[in-house]
Amino acid sequence: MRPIRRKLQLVFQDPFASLNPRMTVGRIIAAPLIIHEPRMGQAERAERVAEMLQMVGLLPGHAGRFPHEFSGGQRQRIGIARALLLRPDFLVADEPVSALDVSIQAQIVNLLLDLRARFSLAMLFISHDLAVVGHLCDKVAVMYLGRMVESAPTIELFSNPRHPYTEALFSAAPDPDPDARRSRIILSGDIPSPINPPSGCVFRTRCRYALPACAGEIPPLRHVAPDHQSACIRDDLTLQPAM
Amino acid sequence: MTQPRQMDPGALLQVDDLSVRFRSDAGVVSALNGVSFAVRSGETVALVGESGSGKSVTSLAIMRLTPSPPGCQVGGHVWLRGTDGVPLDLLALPSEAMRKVRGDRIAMIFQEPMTSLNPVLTIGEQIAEAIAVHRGTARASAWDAAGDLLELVGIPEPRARLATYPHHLSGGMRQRVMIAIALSCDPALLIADEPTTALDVTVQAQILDLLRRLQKRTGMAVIFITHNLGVVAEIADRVMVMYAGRIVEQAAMRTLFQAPRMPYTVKLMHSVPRLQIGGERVVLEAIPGSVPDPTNLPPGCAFAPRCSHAAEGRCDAVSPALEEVGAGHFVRCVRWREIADGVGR
Repeated sequence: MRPIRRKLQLVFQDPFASLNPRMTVGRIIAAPLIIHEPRMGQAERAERVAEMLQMVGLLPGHAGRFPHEFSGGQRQRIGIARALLLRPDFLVADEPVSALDVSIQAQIVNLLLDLRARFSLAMLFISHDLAVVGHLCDKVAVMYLGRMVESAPTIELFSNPRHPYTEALFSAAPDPDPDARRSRIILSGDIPSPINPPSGCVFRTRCRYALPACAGEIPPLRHVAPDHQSACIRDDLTLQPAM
Repeated sequence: MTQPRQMDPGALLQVDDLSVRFRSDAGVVSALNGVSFAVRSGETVALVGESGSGKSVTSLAIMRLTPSPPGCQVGGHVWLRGTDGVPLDLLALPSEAMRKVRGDRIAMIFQEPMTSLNPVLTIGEQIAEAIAVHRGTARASAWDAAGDLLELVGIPEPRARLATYPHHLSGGMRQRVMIAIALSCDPALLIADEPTTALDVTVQAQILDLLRRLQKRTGMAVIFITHNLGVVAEIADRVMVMYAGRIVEQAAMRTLFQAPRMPYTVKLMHSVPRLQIGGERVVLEAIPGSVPDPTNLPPGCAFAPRCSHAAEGRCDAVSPALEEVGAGHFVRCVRWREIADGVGR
């Protein structure tokens, strides 16, 4: 697995917990090189770190500082630099902007877009913020209680959702436009306990379209259009799009 | 005892020149610098800002929950209209009297429903406690009232739930319990400090809907603290935008979204992606840099170092005053006129 890991890297949600406070930023970012290219000389390593720091919008001189000297957004940049140092093919970004301030989120989203294009990265972007997902992603998979309930290209999913949970998610997202009047679907109840999930469709306990048949089998994820999959037995529904 | 200054007759709460300073190893932290605003009965005022902007400190100072001196210095005045209509100077109130205000006239709910409830007491005991303390009600009837409150906040099987512990409940349910405690004494003002930030999107919509319905029913005023502009558009009548311990813009909600005047507000709105279908993928207008260090605020406008409109010699010289732009619309920017006329950039 270890040789494959250099192709797969991870950016974490919490930039305060994911950087070792006792290490300098240079040492943190160089860690992948120390593990995967132990024969590389110190000078070359430092050079690669400096180059990476600049690529994420920090200064080469920052390598000698410690994580506590940086703000949340800067720390997230350090985490991204560490993840991209080995030029991975695939990057998992697990809620990389959720812990950041609003004005900083956009900086990091823009940075990820820029680096994705520069390194032709494939990215799995994990998020609960649908607006950011719509802004950044080509394809979206919606999960609920441990299952994928819908998956489609972003534009298709936003304009033509086929699963009631996706519709409810769009409807629940608060929109920063006071005139965007929409009928709001407010789901009743909470996400059920995964220890004792409901029979059949796991969403049926909160679904306003549920039928008795929904309690039977777990609906499989099936194609409802080319490239669009949904796990709902109700093919007769017309659901509200994102906007 | 200070004589109450003229309190706006329509105001329920009036904050005059509130300032809070903390002493830290790194120096004096100016968390709040001369914040003034008023809240009328029944209205929802949103306090918007990033972390460190002073929104939570404002609410803690109103409630007098900031640490005691010398670690923390609070200045200014907070007037609250008492039940008899006479203004109370909250910052000068004896602590015994202040304790009667807290939880009774002003209630508060917090961001973390997981950590704001006592894990070793049943939720029934926690709600009944508030009622018993403030109303002197006997335990049994306080318990009954607690059941009614759980019903009011939409918890299924409310009477059975009274005997359960917080860990039995989900985040959304715990926030409902917090709201039940806050409403137990029928407060005139509810301070909600990021009450939905820790919740899922679908649960957030439930809680916002619940708060709106309860407010309509009880007529209480709400100060809603959030960093989410979407939530503001959803719930607020008026908005105050805070930056580095100051109110930098204040307006009716619609005015603020339609004609923001402070460059910071404008930038903040442009930096948030909208939920929309397709369209060309615009680059988000990120605000460069980060929030200034509160131990070392810039001399002029605190936003100037990050502002694309900042003019040398003006914006970095003196701290701008809050100017009236239109009816009830205030902004703290020396260049707002030029920027509005389009010569700013």
